[in-house]
Amino acid sequence: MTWILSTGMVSPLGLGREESISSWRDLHSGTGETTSALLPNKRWPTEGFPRRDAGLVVGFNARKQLPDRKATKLMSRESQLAVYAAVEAGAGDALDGVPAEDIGAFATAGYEVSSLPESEAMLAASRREDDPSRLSLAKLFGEGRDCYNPLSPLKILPNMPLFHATSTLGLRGPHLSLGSSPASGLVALGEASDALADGDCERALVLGSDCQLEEFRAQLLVEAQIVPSLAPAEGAVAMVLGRSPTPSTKAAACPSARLVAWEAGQQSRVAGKDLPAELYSGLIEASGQPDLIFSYLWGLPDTEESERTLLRKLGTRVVCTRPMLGWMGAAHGLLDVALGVAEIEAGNAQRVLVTARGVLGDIAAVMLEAGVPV
Amino acid sequence: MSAVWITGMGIACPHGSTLDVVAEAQREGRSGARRLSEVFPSEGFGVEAACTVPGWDRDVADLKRAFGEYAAERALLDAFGTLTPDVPSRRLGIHLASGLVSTPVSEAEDDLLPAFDAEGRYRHAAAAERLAEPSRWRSRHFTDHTNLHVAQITRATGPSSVNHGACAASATAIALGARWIQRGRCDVVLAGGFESMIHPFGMMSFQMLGALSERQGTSPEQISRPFDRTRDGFVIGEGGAVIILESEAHARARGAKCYGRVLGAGSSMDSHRITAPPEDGRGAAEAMRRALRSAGLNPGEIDYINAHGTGTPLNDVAETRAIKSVFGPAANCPPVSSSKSALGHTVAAAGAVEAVLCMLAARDGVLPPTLNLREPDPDCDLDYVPLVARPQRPRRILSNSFGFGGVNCALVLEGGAP
Repeated sequence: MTWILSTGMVSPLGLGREESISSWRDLHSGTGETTSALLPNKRWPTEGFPRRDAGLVVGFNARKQLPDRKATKLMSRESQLAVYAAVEAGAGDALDGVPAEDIGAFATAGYEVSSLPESEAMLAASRREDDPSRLSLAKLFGEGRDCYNPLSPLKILPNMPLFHATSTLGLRGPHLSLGSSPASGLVALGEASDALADGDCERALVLGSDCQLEEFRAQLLVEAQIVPSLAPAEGAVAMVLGRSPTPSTKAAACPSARLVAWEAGQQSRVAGKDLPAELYSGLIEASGQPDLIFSYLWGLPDTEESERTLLRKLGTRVVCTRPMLGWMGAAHGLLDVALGVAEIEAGNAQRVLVTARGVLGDIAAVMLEAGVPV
Repeated sequence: MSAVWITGMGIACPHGSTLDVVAEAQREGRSGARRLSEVFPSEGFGVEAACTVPGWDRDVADLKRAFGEYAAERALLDAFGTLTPDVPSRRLGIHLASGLVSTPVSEAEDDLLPAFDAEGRYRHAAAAERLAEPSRWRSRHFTDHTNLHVAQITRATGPSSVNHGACAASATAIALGARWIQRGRCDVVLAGGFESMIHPFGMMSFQMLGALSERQGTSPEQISRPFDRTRDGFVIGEGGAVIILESEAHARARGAKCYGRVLGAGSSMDSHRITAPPEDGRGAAEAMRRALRSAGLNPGEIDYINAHGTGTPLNDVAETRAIKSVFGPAANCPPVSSSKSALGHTVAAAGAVEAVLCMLAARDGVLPPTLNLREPDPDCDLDYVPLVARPQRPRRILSNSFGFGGVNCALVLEGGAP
């Protein structure tokens, strides 16, 4: 049994857990001014781009809000968001008294590309004079390279959110850095829980971060047919897991959330048509019927029909956050988990099923349950 | 940690693309390096060598994905004699590693340059218009394509994920794949990694980080010099390797051959700097200790260490110190060597490529050499098996992989059937 000891988050819902949960309640209940967290996208000129809105994190200033201002220069936006969420999750007593070597980190992050502003000058300077539609390698290795920020390669390494978050917190235990699928966040959570059960670590930081709000990256969402169904978005979520509750979770005047089971699998055009049913029924058999489901559904009929049918059969309350918040990629599965935890802590649910599916058919699901720490 | 069998292997690396060719090159101590100018016009670049996989068409949309798919298929055929093994679909898992998807020149020319105007300004509207047109490049940015390909050929529906743990990624993939079997999630797991960064933008990234050797005026085979006093960085490599991990019960029930076993694994984070390990190598040492602990072995029971051994000035000293902090003074340390002296650094594929090399070394009874180690660094004072392979059959092997971002992973492997 794994306890979720703390969470940290930054998303289109707000900065920090408190603001995010409050916004979430307004959005979800319909009592707020709006039922969508999407805003006009001002990150790049979106004329001609299939969506002109986005799930933006508003009011985030890395240089002011992160502990090491100098280090922010080496970070991509998603690394900055990851550090913010990790610092919030690591505050309080969730990591207290545990040696750094005994705290593991299990992360998923979005696919990083060199940002347009950092590549534009290099590409422009490297075009052939006789044929500007081609690149001259001689120019690329000369003036093109001189135009490129030498710190840029450090930003696009795929495990950088893990590095920046864990080095900020000083963690030195086992690690896992998974790919950019939204299902990866749930797999990271599950693997962290298994690592705790195996005694590989005493605490585990689980982290998901992504920023789809860079023009090159957002273009890939069009290829994947996510845009225009959904708007691109950004955010990060972090959680600290442990095998037993901390003093503050014991003292809290609310139930705590536990991860009781998880499953993952791969669907393809030749196999796994009934995989979601198989995964969810396994979880329900192991832990009981959920009274709330956070589903990955977002409006693609051909890949989502089995999920819809299944959810109808279960007859449970279903929440789909993607249309409200946009596509937060690698962070989205864990955002749904964090909201599920909040629902448990508020006494709105006893058992919560969270599902996630990647563009290429990887699926994961986790079951959360209310528990009273003793 | 109960042992997990290795029942199949597939590889494409700078030595070649079959196990026998790779094993022969390792025994003979050959280098896979060639002149970079044979790969692309590199005048003015400042780097003179790369280790490419021979005999592959480089004009494909995603060479690294091709390596990954090839290695997975060869591993399946090696283990089962078929691409569709008789394993219940939910019991077959896939955990593969790859690195960042850097942009080849052809992609920049096809997809990006048309959006620039005559003055060299990027026109956003023009770029948006081009999204309606097909591109052979965009889908390559989804790094889980190889997992999907493997799932489709095998009909696997078990757990499937992509590891992005930098240069420790495919070692970590093997470690996690073994865990899936030990925890009872799977009977069989395809684990490994694939990588190809040998194109101008890919190599520029490493060059700007100061990681590549810029040695001039010598033969490409002599540039990678791990543990040598004159080392100045690594030579980039490429390739893919996948191993079939199988539970003992499943392997025995079908009478599978056994190359060896994964006895244990350990990982750690340096929490130090992005591109430099701590001087005392404490993170690397912690990963090695964890691996030994999970295998239930003492340091004295290890016969050979396949080092991370990149040939960068910082790594090799830190790794040597880390080994000594785990194994004791130099006299107590087993032989150590660096396969990167021959194959270059295959980045995200390195851990899996080197795991295959370790199994071949155990099968063939040789310790792989550290090529070009002619002037030992006084701070690197272990037995690095210099220059030529040594006839000696290692049974228990520690294989190290460390990555940018301070991620470390060590595997404890055992060659041969139990």
